[in-house]
Amino acid sequence: MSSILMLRLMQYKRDISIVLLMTALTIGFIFIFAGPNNGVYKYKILVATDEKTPSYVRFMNELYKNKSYEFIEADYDTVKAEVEEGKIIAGIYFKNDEISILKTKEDINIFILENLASNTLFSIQSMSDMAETIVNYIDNIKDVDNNAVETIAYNEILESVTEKKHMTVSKEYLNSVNTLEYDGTKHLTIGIILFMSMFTIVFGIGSILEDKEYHTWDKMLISPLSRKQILGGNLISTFIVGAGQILLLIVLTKQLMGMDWGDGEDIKLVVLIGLLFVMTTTSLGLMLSGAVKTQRQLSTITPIILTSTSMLGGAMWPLDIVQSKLLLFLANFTPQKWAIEGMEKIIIYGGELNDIISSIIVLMIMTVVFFTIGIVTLKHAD
Amino acid sequence: MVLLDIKGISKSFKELKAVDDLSFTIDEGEIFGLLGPNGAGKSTTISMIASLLPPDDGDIIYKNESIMTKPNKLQKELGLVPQDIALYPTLSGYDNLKFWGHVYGIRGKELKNRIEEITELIGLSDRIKDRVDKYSGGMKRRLNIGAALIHKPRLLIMDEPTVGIDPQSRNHILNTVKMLNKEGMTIIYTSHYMEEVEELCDRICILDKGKVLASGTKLELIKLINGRERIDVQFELLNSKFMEEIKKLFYIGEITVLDNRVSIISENAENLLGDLIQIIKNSNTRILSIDVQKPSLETVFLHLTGRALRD
Ligand SMILES: Nc1ncnc2c1ncn2[C@@H]1O[C@H](COP(=O)(O)OP(=O)(O)O)[C@@H](O)[C@H]1O
Ligand SMILES: [Mg+2]
Repeated sequence: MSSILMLRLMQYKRDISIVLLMTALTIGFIFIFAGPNNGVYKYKILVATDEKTPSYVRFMNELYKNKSYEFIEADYDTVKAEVEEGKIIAGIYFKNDEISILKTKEDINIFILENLASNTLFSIQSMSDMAETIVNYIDNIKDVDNNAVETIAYNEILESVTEKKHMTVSKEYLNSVNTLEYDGTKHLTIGIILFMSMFTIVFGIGSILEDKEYHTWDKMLISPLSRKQILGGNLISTFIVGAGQILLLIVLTKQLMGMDWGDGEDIKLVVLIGLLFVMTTTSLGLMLSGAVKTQRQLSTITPIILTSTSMLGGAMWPLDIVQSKLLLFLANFTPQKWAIEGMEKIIIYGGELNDIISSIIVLMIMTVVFFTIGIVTLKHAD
Repeated sequence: MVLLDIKGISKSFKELKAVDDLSFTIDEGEIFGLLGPNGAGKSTTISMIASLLPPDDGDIIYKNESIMTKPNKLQKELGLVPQDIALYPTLSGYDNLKFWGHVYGIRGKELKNRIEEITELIGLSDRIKDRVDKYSGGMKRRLNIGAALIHKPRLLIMDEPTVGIDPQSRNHILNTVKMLNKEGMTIIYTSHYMEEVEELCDRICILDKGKVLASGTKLELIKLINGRERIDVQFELLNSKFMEEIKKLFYIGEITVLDNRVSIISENAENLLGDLIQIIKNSNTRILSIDVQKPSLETVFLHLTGRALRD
């Protein structure tokens, strides 16, 4: 078995440029798709009010600046209906300078929306209060058009807040916006890392097809190597390279992009899920290799299968925006979904081992199932 | 001492009988030639000896034990040079040898020494660190042989080891085979080039369509054609008048025509040459060459099958 391990590692050493290129490409994709201000998806949020007061208008103007949500005005009944039907993740009802969030479930995006809305409301109210104080002060001096002055004062304060950023209110407000965009980044970073590493892993285990093409298979069979050793060596070398790539990407995204993978305990759990995911994908690769005859066929079907399951499993966009019950059901059969969910529970929701048990169990079951199917079909092809 | 005893093995692929009731024995220390045109069943026979393919019928005995029940005994002592080059193209020649050595349990300094020995033997010392896919066909063939020698096999089976290579590599390979044999290695050499088999082999088995046509030493085989000689005439354009005339000669054996080349086997070559020139003159045709062939395995094959060995 050590012979096969040595063989594969020698081959990887020769192809080191390809492995490095894949890693660089992954980092590039994360920069492009998950970098700041590049959220590729936007949640639609409906906002309703009974009366378009000046503070409502200001509130809406602030919300429109946000890049992660698309805010649209609607009447209350529409908002309520769409939330209940699950067409949108949440709605906002603005009444008497207060807001309530319409929702049917709790999730990270709704949580962030709530924060965003209340921070926005708080900051415009603080600014309005200041503007009002100024107006009152001026009013005592001279009789002027109160409304006009208040609007001008508000706008000027707003300008100074956004440009000079020296007021505490504005700081809080800006921070919350940062947090919001960062979660899109985290999601996509995880998704892209898992998606790209799947290629390395599936093509890695696919090298068991290579020996038939290189005519080395027969020579292996008459050598002291057993079939079990050949398979074992291939599985282990694939695992090592796949795991190495995921670990490298975790380190690189942390160092180069400041990706927050949490503290030491969090990282351990993230790595645990990462390693399980490598095992599941290795077995998936074994199953795909059993289904085809040559490496060429494998490289034809692999991108199709990996891309479609990654889309389905939420590696490209969050599953929260998926409406179709069927697609959400199918997502459960992709390892990507469980790995992403597990990692997010830890680094976004601050979860612990208990919270990711379901991900761990599902990934283990998938590993066993894919592995068994792979072994059976490979034997059949012999 | 008989090392390997092939007892009436057969193998069919659906309707096609690739090997048909084949028997021969191989003595320890000899070079045994398996000669036959493409599709004769040579590779299939070798696969059965290596336990890669189970025979439909018959038995193969290695050192008094059937390999059907104990394939390991032969496999451990077997070096196989497959017809298709079996190398990892992205690895260096050195790493290819290292891998196969490792597979056979050779490690460390011993492996290093062994790789050096082999590299020298196959004459690849200056290129051994290069990637195999940068090698010429001849270099790949030589490395393919080296990979089969790394564990010092007792029996070496070479399946058409010289196909499609330059004369220099070919000579190198033939010399290597002779040297290995001198050191005591038993070799089964498979080829459709009769010159190679003639040059190398102690005993030869001529195969055609899965059956043994003839077997024995080179001398025994040539006796089959009974001192008859062969003359090859290459025409610019062969005409029917020539063919009519030549067939009238009473002492002619087989006549084989391939394109514009006519091979004539006769017991009376001296008379034939004179008569032949006369007929050529009369039939108004131009010739490019006339060769009087020494008795060879090619002639034997022609005599036995009426077909040329290479077509
Ligand atoms: N796996 C196979 N399936 C079907 N036919 C085969 C297979 N292997 C060989 N044959 C056929 O058996 C015959 C003998 O082939 P082979 O042993 O390769 O001949 P040789 O090595 O003498 O050229 C050929 O007609 C070939 O087409
Ligand atoms: Mg052959």
